[in-house]
Amino acid sequence: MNAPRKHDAARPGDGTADDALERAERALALACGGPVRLASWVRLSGGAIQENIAVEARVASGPHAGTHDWVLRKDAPSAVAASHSRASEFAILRAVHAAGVLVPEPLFLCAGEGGQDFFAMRRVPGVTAGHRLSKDDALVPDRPGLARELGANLARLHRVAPPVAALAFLGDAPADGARACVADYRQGLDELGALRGEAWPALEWGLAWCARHAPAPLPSRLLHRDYRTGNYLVHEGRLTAALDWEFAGWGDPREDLGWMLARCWRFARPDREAGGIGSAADFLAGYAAEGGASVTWEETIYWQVLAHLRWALIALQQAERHRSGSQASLELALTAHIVPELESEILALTKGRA
Amino acid sequence: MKVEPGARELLEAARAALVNEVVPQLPADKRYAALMAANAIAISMRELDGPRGDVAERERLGPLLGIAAGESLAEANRQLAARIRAGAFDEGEARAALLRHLEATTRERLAVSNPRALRPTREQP
Repeated sequence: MNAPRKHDAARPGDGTADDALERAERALALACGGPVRLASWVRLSGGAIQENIAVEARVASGPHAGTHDWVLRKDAPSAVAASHSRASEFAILRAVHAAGVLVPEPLFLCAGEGGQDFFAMRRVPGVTAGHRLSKDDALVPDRPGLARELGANLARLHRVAPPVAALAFLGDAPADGARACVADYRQGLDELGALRGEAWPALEWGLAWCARHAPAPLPSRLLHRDYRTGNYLVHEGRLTAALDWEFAGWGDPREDLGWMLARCWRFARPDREAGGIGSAADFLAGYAAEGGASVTWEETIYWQVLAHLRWALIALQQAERHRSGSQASLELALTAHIVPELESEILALTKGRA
Repeated sequence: MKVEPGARELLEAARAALVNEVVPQLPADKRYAALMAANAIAISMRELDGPRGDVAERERLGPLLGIAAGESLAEANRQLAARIRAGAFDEGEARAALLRHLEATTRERLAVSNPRALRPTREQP
């Protein structure tokens, strides 16, 4: 029995979803060397930039013959240029999968018709929702264990050191990741300020503080740059995969630690420093035990300040997409109203630290 | 005379109707959008209750920057941002005065954007 085909709800009735499905079947058949039928097609939530579609693929013959649960990842219609292309993201996934990082196994990169590339990866079970994972102990019975696994998985990623030929598109690794971030974020604020004549003194304070307090750099490693609750899967209490590699790049590995520990990603449990899941101590211990640098909580404060600065800049950039008219969206407009909370945290973290 | 109830009362009534009457009837996948709309209305109401924040912020900037009262708030903030970046507030009393100003401004901004995040006085870590 064939399962009924579920259509992409975004464009009902006009045949677009069927076309997309059939185009995907043709492209996957080329990649797998055998006819492919997609017996189900269900759009997964999340991803304003990328679309993730869960499919049940039935491959009739060839080396991949059989029935498989895959996820197809492609650009959403509203895609912006800021993040990596699907081809680049596929190369990153292959590199980190080979390094032993828990990720969905990347399978095929397919050249989509009309230039819209997509790739297929093995479907991994689990929950991503930050509010549920931070609140519901039934989903996370062993919080210290999961916090350690999150640290360990990041340590495996941070073994990937430049240069990697397949990742040449990432450009040169910065010699000093912290100072490179400060320069980038200042440039980002300048670009926004030029558009609106606005300025953000609290963010400038945070950047000046970060410029003064930059620690001696660690050698650049491959960073995820959005490694936080909401971007990984937890199944039966265990970490199964880190998702959303579109912002990966070279930098100081402590940048990823600060992003995970920053208060802005703790969801319902701001008292649990590691993504609302568990303690910073467990997360950092798991990181060090898997070969990551030994980093103290106090050292992560600097990187937490940088994390709040980066999220504030991204929030302002998202709001600008609404204000400029390029993408009218209440969600993007409201994102600007997160900024005062980030400013407040930046002030709180820097105040007692001259 | 404008007609009463005016902007503030209408927004309050619209928010209440949305949250109490519309949201419970919506399928789960549409609730988020409706709650975002309710939040946008709540922010707008708090902004209408202003503009005390902007006035207080401009008054503080005069002595902090040594500028005349005629400069706009936007211009004063551009000057402040540039001088922070140039290092003019890195140390001493200048630094302390800047932090007092930024904390007050951030509290005023939070009072409109997200009053639940207002913290009495942050515990020192």
